[in-house]
Amino acid sequence: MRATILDGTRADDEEAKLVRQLIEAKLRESGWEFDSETLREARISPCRACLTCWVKTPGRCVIDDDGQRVTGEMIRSDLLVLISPITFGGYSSDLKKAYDRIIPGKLPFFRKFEGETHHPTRTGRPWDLLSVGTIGSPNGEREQLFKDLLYRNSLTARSLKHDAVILLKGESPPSVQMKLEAALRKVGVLA
Amino acid sequence: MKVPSQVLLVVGSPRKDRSTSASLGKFLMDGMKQKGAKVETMFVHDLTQHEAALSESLGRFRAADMVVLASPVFVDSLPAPVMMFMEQTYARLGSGSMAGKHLLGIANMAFSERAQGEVAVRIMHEYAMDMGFAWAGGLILPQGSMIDGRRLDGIGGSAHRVREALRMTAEALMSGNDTPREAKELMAKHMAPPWIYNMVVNHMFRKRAARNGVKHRLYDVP
Repeated sequence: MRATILDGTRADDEEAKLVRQLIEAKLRESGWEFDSETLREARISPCRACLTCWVKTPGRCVIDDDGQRVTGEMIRSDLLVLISPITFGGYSSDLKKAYDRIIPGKLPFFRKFEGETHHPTRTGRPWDLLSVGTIGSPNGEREQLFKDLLYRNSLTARSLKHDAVILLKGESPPSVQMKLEAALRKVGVLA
Repeated sequence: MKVPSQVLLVVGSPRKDRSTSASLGKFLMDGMKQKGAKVETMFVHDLTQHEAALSESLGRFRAADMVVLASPVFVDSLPAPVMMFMEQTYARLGSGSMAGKHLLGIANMAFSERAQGEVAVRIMHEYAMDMGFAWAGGLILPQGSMIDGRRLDGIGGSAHRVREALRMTAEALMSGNDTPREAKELMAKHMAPPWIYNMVVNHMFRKRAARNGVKHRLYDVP
């Protein structure tokens, strides 16, 4: 099994460092292979919505940057781990610039899934999803929005398993560990 | 709500002037201009590529008493440059800096289901709250491929409801009211039955691939 970790957090985010270390350790213990990307250091241009990756160079983005590598990692994965500060309820721009580039991993065609129209994945396999969002203080509306976004992502990725974890800034390491282990069980990394 | 005199359209699509976001925004701006507003347009993709352009735009952003943010939906939410624009304006101008001003959000996407645009509009709403904007409402356009960046007044009957929704919105905003519920409902109606729309879009992709000589490679996994 293979995972890609997309870290869309800032360099000074101590919780995020702990989150990433814990997830990487659990993936290793469980025998998963994984790629782990620090997106703030990656050279990834935004998606141009040119649709070339659908109708001219199927499956391949023409933007020659780190996004090509990261997209390839995402396409080959069984699980995508999205780590981000909760930004107006959504993902940070650093995470989003990488996640928007997943489009070559989809087919252009519209197909029904769970009663809605979506683009099927190019490999025919789903991506399971785990999102981890950090927030400075409790905010019910934004936490729900972050979870709703992951739910919508799970439809787009046709995920069989998915979960969203919310962590408060300054949350104790044992509490962070407990929440992450529960989520990793939900997405099938831990038994 | 105070009647806006200076309105800024912020277009979130990388296709800039040739985007459906611009088509919708410009039609609304024309309606507001006719009723006396001064209007201006900026493209997020120009601002987020160049530091100087972003810094220069902040003055125009602050000068507006209404901002209309029109954006496509990319992978279930707002495109990365729109998120960056929101992060940067918040970081540079500060919490509550747009108090007394209004923000209207417009999201469009290719799919037929309105629900697929709701997260994007809710994110715009949360941004508005942090910046101190009063929320003037959110419009969601499904089946955006029917417009595909064309000028709304150049499209036939299929876009009639979209034009009507934007006229109603311009009228309401320039009368000091929020976006009417009827306009939101009209905007979210299908321009074509979804099964026909899906069939046409799928055919269009095959046709474009055939034109590029890759019709039989559409399912390739590189």
